[in-house]
Amino acid sequence: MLCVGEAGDTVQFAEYIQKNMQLYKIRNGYELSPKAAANFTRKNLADFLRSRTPYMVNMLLAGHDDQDGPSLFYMDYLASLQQVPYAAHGYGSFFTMSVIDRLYKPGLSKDEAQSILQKCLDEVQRRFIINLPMFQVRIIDKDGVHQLPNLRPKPAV
Amino acid sequence: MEFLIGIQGEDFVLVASDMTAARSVFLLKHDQDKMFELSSKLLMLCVGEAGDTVQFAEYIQKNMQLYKIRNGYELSPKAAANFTRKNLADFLRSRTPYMVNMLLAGHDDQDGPSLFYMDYLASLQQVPYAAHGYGSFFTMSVIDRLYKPGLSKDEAQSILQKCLDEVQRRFIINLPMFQVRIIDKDGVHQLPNLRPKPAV
Repeated sequence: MLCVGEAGDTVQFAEYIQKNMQLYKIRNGYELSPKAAANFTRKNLADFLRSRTPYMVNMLLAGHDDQDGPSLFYMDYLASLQQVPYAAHGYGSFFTMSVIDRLYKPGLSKDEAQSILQKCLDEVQRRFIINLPMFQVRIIDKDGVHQLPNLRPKPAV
Repeated sequence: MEFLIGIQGEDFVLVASDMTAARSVFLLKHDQDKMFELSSKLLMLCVGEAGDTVQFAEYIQKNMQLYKIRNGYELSPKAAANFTRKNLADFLRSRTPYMVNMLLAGHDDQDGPSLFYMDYLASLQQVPYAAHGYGSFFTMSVIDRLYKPGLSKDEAQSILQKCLDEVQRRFIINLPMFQVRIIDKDGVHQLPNLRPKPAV
């Protein structure tokens, strides 16, 4: 789960979901699938939305299921949830979605996806006014979550 | 989001401006020149409302050239600064105010180097060092710590480098390139564009 938004809300909500998922595993002996976890997260966010204490968080959930394969879910602070082949949150998405629209095709290899990511981050660094000098990169496949080296995009000038 | 800085030294004024031209979150240009030569030894750095900056700066520039043509000599930096201030103040309470923040840096044969801080409310003050924009929050304390009267060119440039590194380190907006000029008794000289060290 990648979580951005209101300071504090992000960590609070993310850890709440994290602990509830661990509780599920303890109780039932197996983990929630990515799709089920995404819907569980959405339901919680939606319940909080119309309470006195809404959480202002935008999320991407990325997972891999043995039956369904890899999945990416886009969720925003209004608790809208959609499975998508590619997604972005924040002002940076204005710059990157068109790049990925152009370059994406189903069934990308890891190298192809990483090169698209590099192009996206270079574009953000080139045209976005905010300074985002360093990016954390992870990859989720059938063997779990793997940390890739932090990405530093090329300087704008 | 734009940034101007000026530091007066022993017999010169060192000035720098960022080179970004942006509209909301989009960076349109990274090589924008925000400095206007009002005369051979007077430089105006101008930031603020898009359009107002260039319009007002060129208006002052042309009026200064007109003065030189009419009278045969250029306005001194102090006189030019006050002329600029008067114009800005007159426009302020008209239907068409100019939203510009400026630094005027010049060298006079009698008075020596001078740096003037002027903001959009037409307040004018001669100062030893100054900065405009959010970046000033970061840099004024650096210069307060390091400045002493009678700086040499190398000392002033090292202070400037430290200021720009601080802006690059702690300011959320990306200002990757700065244009640097120096005004001394021989006029306005262009120095190499400064690229501060990356933040991480």
